[in-house]
Order: sequence, then structure tokens, then C-alpha cells
Amino acid sequence: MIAGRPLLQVRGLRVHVPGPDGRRVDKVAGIDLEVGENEFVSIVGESGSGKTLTVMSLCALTPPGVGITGSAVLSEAGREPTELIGAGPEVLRSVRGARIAYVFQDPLDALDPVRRCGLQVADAYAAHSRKSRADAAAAALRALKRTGLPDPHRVYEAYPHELSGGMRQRVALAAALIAGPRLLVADEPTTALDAQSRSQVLSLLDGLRADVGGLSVLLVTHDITLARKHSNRIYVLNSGRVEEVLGHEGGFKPVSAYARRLFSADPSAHAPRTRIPV
Amino acid sequence: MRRWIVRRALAMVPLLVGITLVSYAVIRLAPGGPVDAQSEMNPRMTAEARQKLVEIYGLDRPVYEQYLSWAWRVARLDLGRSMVDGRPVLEKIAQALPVTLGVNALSLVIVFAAGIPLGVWSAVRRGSAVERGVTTLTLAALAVPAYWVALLLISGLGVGLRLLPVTGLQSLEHELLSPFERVLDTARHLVLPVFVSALAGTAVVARFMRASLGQTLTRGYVRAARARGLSEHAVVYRHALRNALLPVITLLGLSLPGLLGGSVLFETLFALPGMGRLFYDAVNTRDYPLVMGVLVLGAIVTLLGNFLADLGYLWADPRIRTAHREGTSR
Repeated sequence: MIAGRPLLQVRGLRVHVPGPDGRRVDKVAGIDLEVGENEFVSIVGESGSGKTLTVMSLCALTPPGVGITGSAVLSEAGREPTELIGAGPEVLRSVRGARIAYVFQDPLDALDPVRRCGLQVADAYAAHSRKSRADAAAAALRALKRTGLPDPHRVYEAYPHELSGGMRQRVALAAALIAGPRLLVADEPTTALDAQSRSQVLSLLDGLRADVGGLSVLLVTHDITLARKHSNRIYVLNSGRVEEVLGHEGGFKPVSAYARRLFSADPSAHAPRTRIPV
Repeated sequence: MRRWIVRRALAMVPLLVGITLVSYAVIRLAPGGPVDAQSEMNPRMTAEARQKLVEIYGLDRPVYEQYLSWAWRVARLDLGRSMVDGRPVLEKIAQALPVTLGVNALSLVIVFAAGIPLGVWSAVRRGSAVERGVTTLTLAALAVPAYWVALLLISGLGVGLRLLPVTGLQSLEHELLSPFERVLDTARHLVLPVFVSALAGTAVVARFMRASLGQTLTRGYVRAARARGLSEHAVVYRHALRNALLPVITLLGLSLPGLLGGSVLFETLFALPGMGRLFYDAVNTRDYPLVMGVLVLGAIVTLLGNFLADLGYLWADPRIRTAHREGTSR
């Protein structure tokens, strides 16, 4: 499926949390997953299937007390591969943002309420660069402009609560992509947005991928329609395991009973629609 | 926003009037009066003399009239004279205030300067021995009565080991010392009272800070900042701590009135002539002008403390600034 070594190769990933009786409970029970260069890969599954824990464990962004085992190797072209699971704090810090970036579900929660948006984007740049604050500010302004924000100077000076949900998610995207990562992990990035901002953010992401040239996306979503529309490959998760891997070539036709049930919950699958008399 | 500040400041006036009304009513409802307190133990006090005193103090007039004439005087910044020794109330307060203010200001500085770092430390090192130690110590500091700690320290460090003086603010030979030695002398006298009055407050602030920062550290923007590759130091101190300190502004505003209020207990234990004892004696002798004087001063500082806390929020939290600019709140 992918020639050579994929950008991200996950093997036997397990994530466990302390259970009520003190025993380990596996929330993610051995997942294999791959993301190639410039690929768009989605993870779908119902709530509690381990989607978010899987992607958060890649950069050890899980809450304290959560145990992670297995292997996840990140290998960009022309760069030494890096094992992420069990990596030390300095390695993780150098990967986060610069090689793997994250956008989260609720952009209001993902931005510090008492720090100006532009500074938060500049912080992300400065975290991976020795350049001056002025350079970071200029880079932040450019990054905000790239996300298609109408008035980047105003957004730079604004606090998160002064912006709309769609604008906030653009700020979060600017902060995520400013340090030039090769992989973007997007955890339900559109769930908290209204329908219009939702499609805008996704087409913006497509545009940014074309601009950057070779940005892979690992999308976690409930939205089967969205996953089908953008993905090269869809992983269907069920209780911490990969139930099925669906390829674009196969037209994303689910085979297993669980995946068929999940996909049948997708409203777009029920065409033609009939009006319900009120 | 400027209009909001002016409105907020003006709203303190009716509040202050209300406080003085209630205080006046309460002290007048208490049984006895200044004349009783002065004549009870005096066998030569005749009925005519008592009547004369009542007239001098104006206590024969209706209470609302007495309140109004008191309020009119206060409005012209005159707190009146003590009914016990005839000295101006302001002068008596001015004499007691520096002692209380000195001890309390030092203690307030310690409370926040020690409480905040202790709380931050134990929140950042959650689950470590440091956290358990701080939690145990702060719990102990809150659980033991402060007067008991004071007595232990007086008997142990003061009387037993003779390390520190335990009464007053100056030694007997204070006047004979060089200026430097005088400062040192007063500082040594301050150690125990300041320590004892700061103890519980430090524990409260430390626990508050630990809870506040602990909660902030679980917020999404902390994880997001980490996910952007920010150093742990920047994550904790630039993002989490700034947000966790916001509620501390309220705590600071609420502690300002405590600067003036002396504790009768500590001032008695350490023989300090402060506000606590002044007020205690004033209540016992029903010295109405002095009681009201201390209460008015306390009320003003309490209202100012709240006002400053609101201004502090306005300065520190952009969300509240926006709310007031748009006039959506209050």
C-alpha cells in the first residue's frame, strides 16, 4: 500500500488506564496503523472506541496515569526515524508542533483565554526556533494570513473570546502548522463548529495541504461523510481494536457487521431522502 | 468601561450608609450605655449627675436624631470624641492603627508570598512527596487553633529558650538603643505575632492556589500549548499559572479589610496596643462614637477592597473587559 517506510508506522499500540479496582484497563488494545507521506487517513468509531486516546498517545498528550506501550515510528524523508512511544521529554517536545501537530475539537478550549491569539501562534513558532520575538510575530502574522482570516492584524491582537468559532479554529490551525509539521492530527476539528464553518475549515485544510506540499492528515471523526469525502484510508475502531481498514479503491464499502452498522448511521447513506410530514 | 467604574464607585456610597445604619442600630440595641458603664461602680454618682451626663452626650434625644447628627459630623470627616476620655476618636484610632497595620501588612505579604509558591509547587508536583508534605502541613496549620500555637511559641521560644521577646513592640531599654538596634529590636518583637497571624492565611492561600492551578492544568489550552511543543515551563507558568491566579485577585481583595481589624486574642496574648483591643474596650464601655468610628473605617476598607478586586479582574481578564465594554454585564 505504501512504498518504503510510511511517515508514521504504529505497531501494537496499547493504552491502559488504572481501573476502579486498581487493575489496568486496556482502552486501546493493540492497534496497527499507518499514515504515508501526503496521505489523508481517518479514524472512525463510536464514542469510547479509543480513537482520541490512540492519537493523543503518539505525542504522550494523554492525562497523567495513562500507560502507553507498543511502537510508533515517525520517519520523514531524509530524516532519522524517531520512536515516539517511551521517548523522553526533550524528544517529545521537539516532535510536538514541529513534526506532528494537533488541532482539537473545541478551539475555544484549545486557546488560552487571557493571551492574545497572535501571541499564541507566535509562541508555537518560537518554541522551535531561535529567532527573535519580532521574527516570531511576523511569522505568526503570515500564518494567520495563510488561513484566510479576513483581517489578520485584528485577529493577532484579539483574545479568543472576541472571535467566532470558525475564526478560532483557523487561529488554532495557524498555530499548529506554523512550525512546519509533516503530520497533522485533527481530533474532531469540526464537531464544535456550525455547518458553514465546518465545510470552510475542511476546504481550508485541503488548500493548506496543497500550499505546503506534502502534509499528511490523521483525522479522528464521528462524521462518516466527512471521512469518506477526504480520506485515502479509513480505520474503523471498535473497543480499542481496529475492526476494519477501508481503502479508497474499495469505495469504503464496510464488510464487518460493526462497520456496516456504524456506516448505516451515516445520513448520507440513505438516499433518496423523503420528507417527513409534520 | 470608564462609566462602569464610576458607577461601581458611586454604588459604594449607599452601601456605606446602610452599613452605618445597621451598625448604629445594633450597638444601640445592646443593653447598657456609656453612662451606665461610667457610673455603675461609682457610689458617689447621684441621679442628677447621671441625668447631666445623659444630656451632655445627647442620649436623651430620639435615636434617629442622634444618628443623623452623628452622620452629619462624619460626612464632614469628624468622627467625634470618645465618651469615655473625651479624646478625639480619630486620635485614638491613629494611635492603635500603626501597630495593627504593621503586624497585618507584614503577615499579609507573607501569606501571599509564601502561600502562592507553596500551592504552585504542590500542584506541579502532584503525587510526589512534596505535595504530600505541603498538604499535611497546610492541613495541620488550619486544624490547630492559632492561639494555641501562639501560647506554645511564647512558652517555648520566648520563655523557655529566651530567643524572642513575647510582649509589646519595644524592649524597656528601647530608647537607649542606637537607631539600627531599635529597628532590630522592633523586628524581633514582630516575629512571633506576625508568624502566628500569617499561619492560617498562608495555609488557606496555599490550598486555594493548589486547587486552582491543579484544575487549570487539566484544561484544553494547556494540552494544546504542550501539543505545539512549548516547554513545560512555558506551559505551566505562561498559560496555566496566569489563569489560575485570576481567582486569587478576589482572595487578595477580600483580605484587605483584615489589615485594619486586629485580633483581640493575639493582641492580648502578645500585649500589643492595637485595633482589636481598642474596639473591644470601646464595645465594653459602650463608647458609641469610638465603636462607630472603627466600624466606619472597617466598612470603607472592605468596600474599597472589593472595588479594587473588581478593578484587578478588569485589568487581568480580557473577557471581563469585553463584557463591560459591551455593557452586557451589570
